[in-house]
Amino acid sequence: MTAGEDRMKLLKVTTRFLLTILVCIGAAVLACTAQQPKPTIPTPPPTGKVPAKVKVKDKTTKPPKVMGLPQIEIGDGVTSERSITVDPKVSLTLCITEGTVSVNGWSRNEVRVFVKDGSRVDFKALQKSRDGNPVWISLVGVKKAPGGATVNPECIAGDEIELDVPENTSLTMKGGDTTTLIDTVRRVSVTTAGGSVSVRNVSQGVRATTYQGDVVVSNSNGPMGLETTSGNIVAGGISPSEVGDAFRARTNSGAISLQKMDFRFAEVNSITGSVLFAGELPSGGSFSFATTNGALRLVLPDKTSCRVAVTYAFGNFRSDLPLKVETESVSAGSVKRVVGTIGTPEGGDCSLRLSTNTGAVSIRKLQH
Amino acid sequence: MSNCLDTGTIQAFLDGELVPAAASGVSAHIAMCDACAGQLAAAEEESSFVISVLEREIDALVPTQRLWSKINDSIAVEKATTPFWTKAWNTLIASLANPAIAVAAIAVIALGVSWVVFVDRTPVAPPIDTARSSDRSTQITNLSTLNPTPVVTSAESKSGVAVLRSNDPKPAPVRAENIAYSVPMTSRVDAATSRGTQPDHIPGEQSYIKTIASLDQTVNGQKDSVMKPSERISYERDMAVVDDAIAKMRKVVQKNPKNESAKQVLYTSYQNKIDLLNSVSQREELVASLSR
Repeated sequence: MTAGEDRMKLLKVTTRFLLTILVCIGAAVLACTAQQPKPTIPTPPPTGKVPAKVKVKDKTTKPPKVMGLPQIEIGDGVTSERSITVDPKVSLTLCITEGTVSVNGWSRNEVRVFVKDGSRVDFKALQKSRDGNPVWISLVGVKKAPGGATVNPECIAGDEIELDVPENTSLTMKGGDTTTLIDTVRRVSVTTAGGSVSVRNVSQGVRATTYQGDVVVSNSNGPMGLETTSGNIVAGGISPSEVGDAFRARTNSGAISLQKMDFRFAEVNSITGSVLFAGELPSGGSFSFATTNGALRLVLPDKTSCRVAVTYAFGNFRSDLPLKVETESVSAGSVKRVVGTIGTPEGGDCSLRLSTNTGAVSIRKLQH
Repeated sequence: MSNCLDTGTIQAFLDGELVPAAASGVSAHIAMCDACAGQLAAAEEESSFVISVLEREIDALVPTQRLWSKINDSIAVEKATTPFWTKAWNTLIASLANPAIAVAAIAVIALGVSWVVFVDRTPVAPPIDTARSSDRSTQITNLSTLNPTPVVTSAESKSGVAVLRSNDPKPAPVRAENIAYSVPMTSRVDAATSRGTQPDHIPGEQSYIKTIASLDQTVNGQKDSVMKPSERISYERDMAVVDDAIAKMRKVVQKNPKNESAKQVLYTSYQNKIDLLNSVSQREELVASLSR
């Protein structure tokens, strides 16, 4: 082999290596490009849409403003009304990005929606009963895509959104910054990023979560889970609809106030906020009230009979009801724990756990 | 004698190059022909002379074979004494001489580099600065004054009417810009725990700390985008309260590991912290689902 042939061979090998490196760099660039988020392509409208009456009342050019929630549906500034005949026990799914939402139960088998200064809306039947009436519907937006096709955004918005629904409606809602009021339905599950949630006259359960705002529930039955990240929780006139229904309330930063509660199982927790309970503790129940930094105040009737376990680190404990202490550990600088019984065994028996890290724990008599 | 053998045939006979039939014919002829026998003897004498002359050269090949053996032995010894990493390096270099293997290696390296650069962008928690954490804890303590703790004085208890009174009726105003948002939550916990005399974790605590650390990494990048300033202040205050409770309870548990009540409060505080962190990620998920 001559020197010229050797040089040619070396040149070929070098060229192959360089080409390989270029191919690898190209592959890396392609991989990088693939990481970029692609623009969302709206999906075409699904089948199964139920014709609904439409009534456009007014049209404005000023869409509602949305703060703090990027890239969300802000509506077309349209005021419209729609209605649809449904099964009496319909399930309704909503997604509201902004606005004041009001849901009211009525005695008609019809869902009506009124949107003021917001999205064009329509109903989508997700499931129908044997007689053809929808048993599961969703409220969706209506938009014209650039190509002329109609698309249905999952979420809508509006200055005011009013819904009239059958009294036995099961409502599932998620929302952005919304002020929500729900009245007289069968079941409620609502989760919002911000804004207060008020629920009343619900017969079979409430699950309400907001990340910034108050949760207020009144005159309702069924299992309850109330949660707010930053806000107060107020509940009154609440009771289970079935044996075993539980009540849970939790706030990170806010007070929890409960009265006239008939649940036999309750778990109440606040991180920075006080907890107030006023009412009877049903016999055989199990109740836990806890806060990390705040006071625990219970106002109980004279006849209350409970086994009480109180744990507190930096604070104090006092009971206006006679407390028969069983064990007590109250040495300074440590976690104090008092276990005892209030009332008499004949009056019933329940378990009451009170826990605070920093704060006072007090049990007072309920004044009739 | 006209049938005498020629010199080439005699030499071939001597060298054993004739076929057996020819060789026996030559042998029979030489037995009867004196002239040819004389030629054969002369040829044998010449061959023996030549062999004796070339014997030194023939023997010279033997040292070459020995040299090969010596080389092979040296290679074997060197193989036995060479370290593993040198062998591996030599093997790698030898393998890279193969263009296909070299290309594959470059492709793997390029993909690895692109993965590190473009895909794996997980934020790395900064190293814990104990001094800064201490400053932070001071700020956090100040923040907790936003929600003063109500206490009952002993004198008031004696009167039978408990009047809740704040420790500090006029809490010092806390400005939002004082909050060091960049300090990760794990550093607070670790700083709080490091203040204790014993770094050992109580049973069950490690899982909480691991969960909190992983959640913290996830949440740190989301807080600014998900929460408004007022929510952020509230969140930081809650986190400070929980961290403070964790630190205090750890001290109590370390002093008395059999204090089940303190353990319970400590675990509850850890759970509160997990719930706090979860609330941020859950809210982020909710906001993301709204934008779909």
